[in-house]
Amino acid sequence: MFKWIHKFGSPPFVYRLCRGFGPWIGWLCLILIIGGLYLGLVKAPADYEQGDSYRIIFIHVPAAWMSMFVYVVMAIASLVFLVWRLKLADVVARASAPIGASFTFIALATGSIWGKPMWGAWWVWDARLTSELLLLFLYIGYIALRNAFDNQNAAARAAAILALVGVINIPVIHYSVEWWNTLHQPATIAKFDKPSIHISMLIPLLMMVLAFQLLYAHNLMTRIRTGILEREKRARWVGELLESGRV
Amino acid sequence: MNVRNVHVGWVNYWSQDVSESIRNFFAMGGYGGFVWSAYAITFVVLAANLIFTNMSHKRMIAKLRRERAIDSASSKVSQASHAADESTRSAQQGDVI
Repeated sequence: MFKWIHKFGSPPFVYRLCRGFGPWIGWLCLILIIGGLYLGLVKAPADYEQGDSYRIIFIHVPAAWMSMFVYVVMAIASLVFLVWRLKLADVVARASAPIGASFTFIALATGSIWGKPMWGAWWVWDARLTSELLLLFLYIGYIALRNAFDNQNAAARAAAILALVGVINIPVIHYSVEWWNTLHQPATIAKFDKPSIHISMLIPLLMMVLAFQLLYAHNLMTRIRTGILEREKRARWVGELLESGRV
Repeated sequence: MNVRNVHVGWVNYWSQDVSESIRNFFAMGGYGGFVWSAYAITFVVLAANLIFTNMSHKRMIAKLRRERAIDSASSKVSQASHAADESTRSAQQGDVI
């Protein structure tokens, strides 16, 4: 059992794992996006209140969920790096930051575009929107902090601490629609009640959520490979890999 | 009854129906500008992300290959110069002794 877990600390094993699964996850993601968009944009009926504008939900909600999910992954990886000094955990945290920032930007941009016809404003300073904007700044701060140090180890430790402190923002984003009076509509799916969405809209939404998860996994695996190569460039196995041509 | 006309009529009816449903699809009940710009931004950002990731991986491989080529070339040179140093040093030592 421990031998099996130990393998995930071994860079050559993780490298080969990412190289093997990465492409398949990418293709599965593409199939889910095509299916999800067909069901969401063509098959699902218009909303009785919001008309066809609600169809932004199929990218807005998955992107918003991923913006938080990726941050939690980054924070856990940072904790593992700080406590056990596992270098691979730092590679995962570092690789996640730009992807998470992209999802956060998409959530904010699509939310803004959805807000204009529904609320009459591109932006309002309410709790949900402001805490999500703070999340974008946390990602940007993390990336900037990493680039500010010459010493890679010092950069990794400082950034890991920032990621851990910032994780407080995640429950604030999630519960902001309950804690404060906000213009943002309450949760559609992630609540203890039955989801307040029809099955014909729920299925494409869940397909898009899964597709975005796989997109993150696919992107992360390539970035992990780049990070491992950089950190292990002096290792013999990297030399053999570069010579074999199957990088 | 003219068979040809019936055929053309059916094609016209079909193409009108399809073009109208396509127009409706892109109109999105009047929200077309909002819906499609949201989707466009999303896919541009995600595609840029994937392209950048793959490019930086390829660049890293090229960089490491280059470094390795330089290393192996310079290690040959340093071995040669090391040998030269050794021979001059032993010659000097020989002089002293």
